[in-house]
Amino acid sequence: MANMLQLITRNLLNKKQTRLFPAAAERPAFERSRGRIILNPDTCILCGICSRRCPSDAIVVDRKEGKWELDALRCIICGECAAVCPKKSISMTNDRRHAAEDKEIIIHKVEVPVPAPKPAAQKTSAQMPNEKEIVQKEDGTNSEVSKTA
Amino acid sequence: MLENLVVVDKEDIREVVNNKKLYGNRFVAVTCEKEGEYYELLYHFDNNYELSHIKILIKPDDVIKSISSIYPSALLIENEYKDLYGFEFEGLLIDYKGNLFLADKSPKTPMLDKNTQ
Amino acid sequence: MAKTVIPFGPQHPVLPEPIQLKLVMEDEKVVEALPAIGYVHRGLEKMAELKDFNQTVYIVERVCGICSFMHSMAYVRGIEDIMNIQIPERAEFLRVIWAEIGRLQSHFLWLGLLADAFGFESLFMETWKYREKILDLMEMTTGNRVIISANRVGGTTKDITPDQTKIILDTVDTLEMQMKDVEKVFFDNYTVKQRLVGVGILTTQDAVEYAVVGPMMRASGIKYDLRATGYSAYKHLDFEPVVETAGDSYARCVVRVKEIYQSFDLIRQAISKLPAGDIAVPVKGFPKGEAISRLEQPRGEAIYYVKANGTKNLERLKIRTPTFANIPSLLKMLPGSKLQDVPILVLTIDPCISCTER
Repeated sequence: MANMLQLITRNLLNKKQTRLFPAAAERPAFERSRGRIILNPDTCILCGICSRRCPSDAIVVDRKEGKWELDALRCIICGECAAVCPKKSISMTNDRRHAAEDKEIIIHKVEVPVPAPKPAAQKTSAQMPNEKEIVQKEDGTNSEVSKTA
Repeated sequence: MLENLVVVDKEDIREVVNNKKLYGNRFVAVTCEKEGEYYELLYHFDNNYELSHIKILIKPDDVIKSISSIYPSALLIENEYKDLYGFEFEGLLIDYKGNLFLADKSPKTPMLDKNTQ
Repeated sequence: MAKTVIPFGPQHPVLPEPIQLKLVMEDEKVVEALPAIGYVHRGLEKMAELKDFNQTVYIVERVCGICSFMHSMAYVRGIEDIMNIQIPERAEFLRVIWAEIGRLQSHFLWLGLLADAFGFESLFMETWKYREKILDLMEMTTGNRVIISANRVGGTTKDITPDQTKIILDTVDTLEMQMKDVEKVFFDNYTVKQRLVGVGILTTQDAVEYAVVGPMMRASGIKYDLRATGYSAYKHLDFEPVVETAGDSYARCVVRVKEIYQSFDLIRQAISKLPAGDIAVPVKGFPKGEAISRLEQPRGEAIYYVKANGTKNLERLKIRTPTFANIPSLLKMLPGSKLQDVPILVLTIDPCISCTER
């Protein structure tokens, strides 16, 4: 009896262990936390190794048309694609994905002119802010942003 | 290859397993694998951290004698093989009649053929 | 006396995963019990034949949502046995550290569920508060909280830096001090003892007859722990299995609390002996042959049978998990008990039904 009472009074007098999210700020992610997979289309050579190694078949690489597509809802963020890419163009960041209210698909096409394969990054995602950032970076090349709700 | 492996005829399985129990072995698991046109059932036993195995060869239509009267915990694995492979066991302690894992609308005996969805 | 059949249904507040027990009752006593499973069968053994042997590591991890690291450790050890790969010493020690942290979070989860089963909600929240600190350790070192994807054929995928080992040691020290206050509630509280002592006794002879594994076996007086065989880096660590003789639910609770202290000690030993070196070796070619690998998961002994035939897909993967061996002991423990003890009894076998059904 007395043992539990001791624990309870200690908990009453210490500070709270929970956070009032979303009113309070959320805990910052650790450096190695798994967030999302991003591709750097400038160095991609469309070899297709990432698509063969993916355990859940989330990456589709099309050599003829120059498309690299990641289905974010199938991805299990294991990191195999980032580990086997020979040009190190896939990386994993640690920003967390939160719950979304409506689903928006942003299709992003970048065309690198001539010679060899034309990689164009195409993403399906359910969150807005980061995608806008990528659209703004690629100025000087054709970029079309189309939204379908 | 596995060490301590003994191959017996499928009619003598109950006597051999009873012998294992008298020597103080603990029943661990049963593995099923396709070998040519037969299926092999491997019974694994453990005695003081050492594993030993018994192997029998069967065809899919044979009736196999159940060991759940000797080791009661074997009833779950034998019912599982009845669902997934379609084998028939005789003398089960509790018989789930093919409904342990699979429902009425599931595919029948999914593990019997290899490389099919 | 008329008999009624009460379904201790697949949905119950005390069960973490769905299992159904049909209880045949006379007044308040249980006369017969029939377990029925099959609510979460996913056919993972069949899926392992369709994916290649590297991708199967990710499938095998998802067999269970609590003891997930040890499943991938057993599978990877089986493949390395077939291909005769010698992995670096540092990788062995890293695997042991993550395995013991996984065992800690599983035992804390079980203690919380046990407290919830007899209605002691504040103790449940207290133990899960400590579990959060352990999950933070996992996220700091690997990126995820439970399913960590830190294993691959040939070693591990991530390393632990010296700063992180210091944080791990500090957390372990703090938790050990705090655990000494919480264990007094589990061992000495009057109401807890009324619910646990003398409930669901499994004698040593019954434990041998029904072939139970894990803490249930050790609470009935049988001294058996697979870590004493010295697989992986356990041969360099010093360790004694925890054994109790009473065989009731109180003894099983004592065994699991003492294993928490044992895991703290093993983590300290492993970190102090961590050698320098690589974390993985490259793997070439395809496996051919068969192998059996066993290890000691938080719930008992798990055994993996892997057979490969020289192509990139596996021929057969067979998993037998510890709860699969513990469920038939319910047929012995439940008849003769009262209805109010049924949730406690079902929880003391530590049911992990998604492991059982794969």
